[in-house]
Amino acid sequence: MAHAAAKEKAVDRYKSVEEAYRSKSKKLGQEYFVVDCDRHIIEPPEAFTMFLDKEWQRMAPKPATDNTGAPRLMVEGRLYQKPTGWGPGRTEGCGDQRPRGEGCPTSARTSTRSRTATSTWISPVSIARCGSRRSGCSPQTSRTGICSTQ
Amino acid sequence: MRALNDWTAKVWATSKRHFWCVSIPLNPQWAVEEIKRCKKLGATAVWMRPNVMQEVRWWNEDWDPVWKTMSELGMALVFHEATGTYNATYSTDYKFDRYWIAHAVSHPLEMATAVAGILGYGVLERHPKLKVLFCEAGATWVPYMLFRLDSHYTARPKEMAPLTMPPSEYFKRQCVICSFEPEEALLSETMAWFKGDNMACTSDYPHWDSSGVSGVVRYLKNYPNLDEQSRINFFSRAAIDALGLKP
Repeated sequence: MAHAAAKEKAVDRYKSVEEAYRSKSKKLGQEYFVVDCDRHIIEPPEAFTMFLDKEWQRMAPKPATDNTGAPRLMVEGRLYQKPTGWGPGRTEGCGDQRPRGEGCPTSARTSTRSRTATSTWISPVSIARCGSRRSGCSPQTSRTGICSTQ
Repeated sequence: MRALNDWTAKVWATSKRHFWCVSIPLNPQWAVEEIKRCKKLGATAVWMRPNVMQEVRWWNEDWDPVWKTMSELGMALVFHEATGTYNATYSTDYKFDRYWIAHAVSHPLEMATAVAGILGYGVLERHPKLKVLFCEAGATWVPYMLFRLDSHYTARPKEMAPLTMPPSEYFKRQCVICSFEPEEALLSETMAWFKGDNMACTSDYPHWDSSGVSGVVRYLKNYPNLDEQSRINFFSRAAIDALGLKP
């Protein structure tokens, strides 16, 4: 029965959709009517200030600047999106931010704060610093949130 | 998710030429609610990652209410991989610590697992009206993966309880490859294998690896011998059918 439903002859809406959507003012590139199935948008921070319920505002993605000066988004305690380049993220490493919400290895080195900070915001600066190459943090060694230099 | 979808609906999708996908929470009950809510806001389809995110195996039957809701509302499912995020098998923080390798690998391989999951677990058997689009993962590996799934279907019949026909038949009935790089090797052979169906045009604009607006021109130049119906299917008809676009 399910298959019978699937086999129902679909109505070909090509002509009517083309008629409705094809631009009538443009002259160039009109040889074919094209539907683009994969385009991307990125929401601005205002998307969350405008529409996120007040009780969740604290967790809204926020713009941050990493220690290379690149703009990034901080999402629930982690920098997103990981940029192109060496390693998981920048050369300074993003692997140090695992597991989710935990503090950076720099703080783990001196205290247990990283293990108890699962629900607190971490300053973008501290995350950027903790991933510094000079600290010796290798992304491959820090997936547990414990830095190789601690 | 509600905030993101609200922004998309109310601020971004201001033209009738803008179609948008619902972002859903990884909880099937919440997802159903959000899909119904966003349908009223004008959403066209629903998008998901092809991966197992946060341990969620979306091909299991607890997600059936989601697919049922989408089938009833005429909303397609769009899979799209994103390398630079967490949880994925080929993410930069799990397997390869070099972004470019992870990016090159993650799109087709993560998507191949989504194809195998949605076909093999019988999601399309249970939801024959659900349309599925696979974005930005290339196209020419799909015939091989379908061949491989079909060969297992034949070789291990006792394990095929969720299916009543070979996996490739479900794919041809309900799935569309939405990936388009006009320089991809064996692209014309792949289009011929699908008989001009099951493939739709995309640009991935404005990403760095986008085929760009000129992709369509390069496509026409690279493949001058494709028949007219295949071209029309590829440029628009496949998308119109799969996404249920209406005038």
